[in-house]
Amino acid sequence: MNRRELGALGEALALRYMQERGFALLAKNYRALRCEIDLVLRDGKTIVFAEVKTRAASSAYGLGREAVTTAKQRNIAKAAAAYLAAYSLYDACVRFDVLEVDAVNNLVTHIPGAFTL
Amino acid sequence: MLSKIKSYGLMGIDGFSVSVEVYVSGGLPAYDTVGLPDAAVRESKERVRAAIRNSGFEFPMQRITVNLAPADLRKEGSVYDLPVAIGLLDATGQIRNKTFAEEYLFLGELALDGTVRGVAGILPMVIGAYGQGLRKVIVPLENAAEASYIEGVQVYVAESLKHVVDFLNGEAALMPTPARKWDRARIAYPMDFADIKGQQGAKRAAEIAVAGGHNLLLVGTPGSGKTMLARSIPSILPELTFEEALEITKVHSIAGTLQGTEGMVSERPFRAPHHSASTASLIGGGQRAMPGEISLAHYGVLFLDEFPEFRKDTLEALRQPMEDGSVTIARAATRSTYPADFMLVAAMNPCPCGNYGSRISPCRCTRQQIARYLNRISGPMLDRVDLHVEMSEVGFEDIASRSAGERSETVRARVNAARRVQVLRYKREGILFNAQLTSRMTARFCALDAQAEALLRKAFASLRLSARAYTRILKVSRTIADLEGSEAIRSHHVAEAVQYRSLESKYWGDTRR
Repeated sequence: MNRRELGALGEALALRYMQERGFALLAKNYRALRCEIDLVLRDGKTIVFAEVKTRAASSAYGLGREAVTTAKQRNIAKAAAAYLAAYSLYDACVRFDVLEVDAVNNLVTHIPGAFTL
Repeated sequence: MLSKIKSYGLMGIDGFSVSVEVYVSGGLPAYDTVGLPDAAVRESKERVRAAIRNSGFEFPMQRITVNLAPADLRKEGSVYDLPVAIGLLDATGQIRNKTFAEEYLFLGELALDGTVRGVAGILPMVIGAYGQGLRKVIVPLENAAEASYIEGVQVYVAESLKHVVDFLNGEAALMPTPARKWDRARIAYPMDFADIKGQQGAKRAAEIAVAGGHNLLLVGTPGSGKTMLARSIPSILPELTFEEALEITKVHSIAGTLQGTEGMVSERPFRAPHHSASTASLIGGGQRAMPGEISLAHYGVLFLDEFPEFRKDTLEALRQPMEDGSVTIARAATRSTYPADFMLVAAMNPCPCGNYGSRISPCRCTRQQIARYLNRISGPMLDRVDLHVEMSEVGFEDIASRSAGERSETVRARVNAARRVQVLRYKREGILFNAQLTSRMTARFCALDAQAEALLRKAFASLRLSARAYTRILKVSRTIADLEGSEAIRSHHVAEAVQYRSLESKYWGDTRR
C-alpha cells in the first residue's frame, strides 16, 4: 500500500466515523487556490472543515495532530474561505477539526475545534 | 452577539474610560484584539480562553473581535482580562442578566484557572470612573482595600470569573466591601530627634525645612551625623491630610508599591535612592513612562545621600521638577505627567577625603580637588536648596551628656502648628505650605517691614544672591515666622533665613565666582 492509498483509506475511515455521528458530507477533497480540504461536513448549522491524518504504524513519525502545522492551517483556512465564498456562506458558523486515523487498529480520534486563526 | 463592558485605562495619574466591545460572529473562527493594545493586552486572549474553559463555561468557536474603545489611545497591561472574558460570556448568551453592563465597571487580570488577579493603578482608575458617574466597580481581591477609600463607590470583590458570573446571574452574593475611613498611622519611628547628640543648628534647620517644605543641604565631615539626622526626619514630618494621602496613593498605586499598606499610604514617603541611580529611575521613565523616585516621594522626602556622587546629568534633571512640583515624561508612545512635590534633603562631605574644615583630622585634598568635588553640585542646583547647614564633629561633651535633646514628638507638634497656620492662610490659593508659594503669592504673603528689608538688601549685596535665592529666603523667613507664631516677618526671621544661605559663598564662593 503506498502513501496515496493509505491516505484514501484513512479518509474513508474518517468519513464513515463522522457520518455515523450525524455529520453530513458536503464535499470531499475540496480544492481551491492550490489548497485542499480533506472533508467538508455539516454539523447542524456549523460547517466543519476537517483535515484527516492517517498513520500506518504507531507513532514513529509523531502523532497525526502534530502534522497539522501552522502553514498547513493557513492553507486549510484559505481553501475554507474559498469554499464559503463559492457557496455564499459568509455568515455561517465554521469550525476546523482534525481527524487522526490509526489505520492498523481502525481507530479514529476526532479533535473538534483543533485550531482557530 | 455584541457586548459592551465598561473598563478603565490610565495615562499618567489620570485616566479615560474604556469600552470593551466584544463581537462574536460567524465566519472563520478567529480571535482579534483591536484598539491599540500593547503586548500584555494582546496576550489576554490566551488567559481569557483558558479562564473561561476552566471556569466551566464555553469558549465560542467563532469569529471573535475584541475592540477597546477609544481606538486612538494606547491600552496597557492585563487589567482588561476580566472585562473581555465577561464580554465574551455576555455576547455568547452565557450571562442571563441583561442590564449589568451599564451598571458595573470591571477591572482585573485573569489566571488560567479563572482566579482574578490584582493589577496596578486601581485607585486612580476608580477615582476617574467615579468622576464619570460610575458607582459600582468589580475589582480583584488584592486591590479591594485601596478602592474602598473612595466615598460613594460600591466596591465588589471578584475572586474568580465564575464567582463574578454567578453574582451577575443572581446565583451568588458578592457583598460590597465596607467603605473604609482613612486613618493616620500611629507608628513608632526607629529614630528619634532625642537620640541625636548635639547638632542643635542642624536640627533647627531640619525643623524649619519640614515646617515649610523647604529643601535642605547638609554639609559635614564623615561621622558628623548627616545621615542619622536625615533618617530621623520622618519622625518630625507634619501629619498627612486625607487629600495628600490620596494623591500620594495614586502615584504608588500606579507604581505598584502599595504592598504592605492598608491600601492607602498613611505616612509621608521617605525615599532614599542610592547614588548610582539612573536618571530614569529618579525622574521616571521606561517604555511605559512609569513614575520615578521623585514622584514616589511626592509630599514626602527625597533623601540623596552623598549628593556629589550622583551623576551630574541626573542631578540637573531634578531642577525642573523641583521648580514645578510635577514632572512630564515623554516617550515615543506615551506622555505622562506625575506629581513630584517633594522636599529634597541632600547630604555631602565638604571634600573628597571628607575632612575639610574638620577640627580633628587634617584634610589631605588639594584646592583643585576640593573645587572639582564641590563643582559637581551646580550653581542652579544649589540655588534651589533653601537651607544649607554645616555639621561638624560632635564633641565628647555632647556624646557623653545624659541630657536628652528634644523628643521628635515635641518638634512635630511645633511643625504641625506651623503647617496649620499655612493651610489656613493659603486656603484660597490652592497650595498647602510655604515652599509652594509662587512669586506673586510671595509678594503678597511675605511682606517685610523696613528693618527686615534693609537687612535683606545688605545680605543680597554681600552674598551676591540671585533673584531665585531672594524669593526662597523670603519663603524660609515666612516659615520661621510661622514657627514662632508671628504673622509679620521681622528682621530676626530674615536674619536666620539669610544665615542658611551663607555656606554657598564659604564653600563655593571662590571656586565658582
